[in-house]
Amino acid sequence: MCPSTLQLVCVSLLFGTSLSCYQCFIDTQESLRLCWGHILTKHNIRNVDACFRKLGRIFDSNERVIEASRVGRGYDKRLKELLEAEILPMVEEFDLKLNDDTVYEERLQAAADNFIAAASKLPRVKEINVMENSRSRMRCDVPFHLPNDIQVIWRFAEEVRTQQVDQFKEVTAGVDRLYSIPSTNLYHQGSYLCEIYSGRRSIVRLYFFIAVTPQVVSGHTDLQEIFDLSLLPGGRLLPAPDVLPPHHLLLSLSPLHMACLTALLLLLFLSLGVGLKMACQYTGIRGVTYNTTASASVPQSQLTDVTWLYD
Amino acid sequence: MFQLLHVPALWFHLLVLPSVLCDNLRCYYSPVLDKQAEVELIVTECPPDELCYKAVGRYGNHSALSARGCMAKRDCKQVHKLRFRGTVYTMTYACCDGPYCNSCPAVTAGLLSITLTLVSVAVAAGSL
Repeated sequence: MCPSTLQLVCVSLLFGTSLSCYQCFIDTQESLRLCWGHILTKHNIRNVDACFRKLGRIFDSNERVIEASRVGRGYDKRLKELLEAEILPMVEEFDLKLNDDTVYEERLQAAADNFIAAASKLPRVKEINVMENSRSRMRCDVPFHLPNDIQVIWRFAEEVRTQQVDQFKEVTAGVDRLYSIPSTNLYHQGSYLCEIYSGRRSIVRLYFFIAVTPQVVSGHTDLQEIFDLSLLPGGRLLPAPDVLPPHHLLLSLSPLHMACLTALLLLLFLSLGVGLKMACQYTGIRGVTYNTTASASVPQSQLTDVTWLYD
Repeated sequence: MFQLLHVPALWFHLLVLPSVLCDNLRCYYSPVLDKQAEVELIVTECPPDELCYKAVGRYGNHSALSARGCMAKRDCKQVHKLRFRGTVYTMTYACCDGPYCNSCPAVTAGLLSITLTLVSVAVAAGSL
């Protein structure tokens, strides 16, 4: 029962989908050298298959390795270097030597842990898009167990998109892994860096970039709406259909009516104009005489105004 | 080239060792690889109830991957999907029950019978 279950597990691991990419970083020839002396203690046989399944389980389908390998653009080369730094010395050490599967298990797990710790320190920028005045939160979470004596330092580089540590200024230091801005302002835009120290060693470095969308545009629209509503009686956007405004009445007239009205008004203005001219001739003399006696410094334009006023 | 030098040793193993010592089944091992990739074959020992296999990974009709090693007898007939470097391949297996029987590019019943015949001839010759 037990061996068959074990085999089933092994087979499922062998055929399971691998998501990380150990074989992308380590040359197959090196892996073959590493696995050559793998002893299955249960049967006391030198079995290479099981060693490769182990590599797959510890590196390829390991969630922690996968998470740690999510590095910023262009840092995959560093991942390769980090994995090689763990695996290649082991290859040299294990080359043409027989070692028990338990030894392999222990050493490969340690290698994976070291890789995770090192890869987690590679830059990885998490993009956060937030509306102005809304809340933004950043969590300094890592996919592995942290020691108890950690210190979390949050740093901020205003406006810039950077991963250069010297561009950041320290904001908080403590044990809190959550950084929360209740109301995000435009000046909160920029790069954030969370660094976790264990003792004096930096073990985690996570990067964030907060992009703040200004609320100016949407705010203006809202304000316009409020303004329009307050101007209308009862806050209604459209007036009642039975109460027509005066300009509406004019528009409803037929062109014939309009022509009649215009002609009538023209006639009225003409007759008024004749009367007005006569009046001007009469009062004009009186106005000028009045003004010359009062003040000679009044400009001509004002003079005429005065004349008209007196009319 | 390197493999050629091993041929006499292989036949020595093949003819003499397993049949005489009743050792565990030995097979060639190669991880899942691009079919064109040239890798020096190394020997693996199978646990009891396992056979040598040679696998082919197909992408549509195109056979793209290959692998060798030991696998449980009951898994030999299975066909399944394998994700390799981001692409999904269909894996099929050909098993054989004989030392180093997965050495050649194609594991066939014919090869198996030839090997068995040779072994039996050798054993018969040895006993005479």
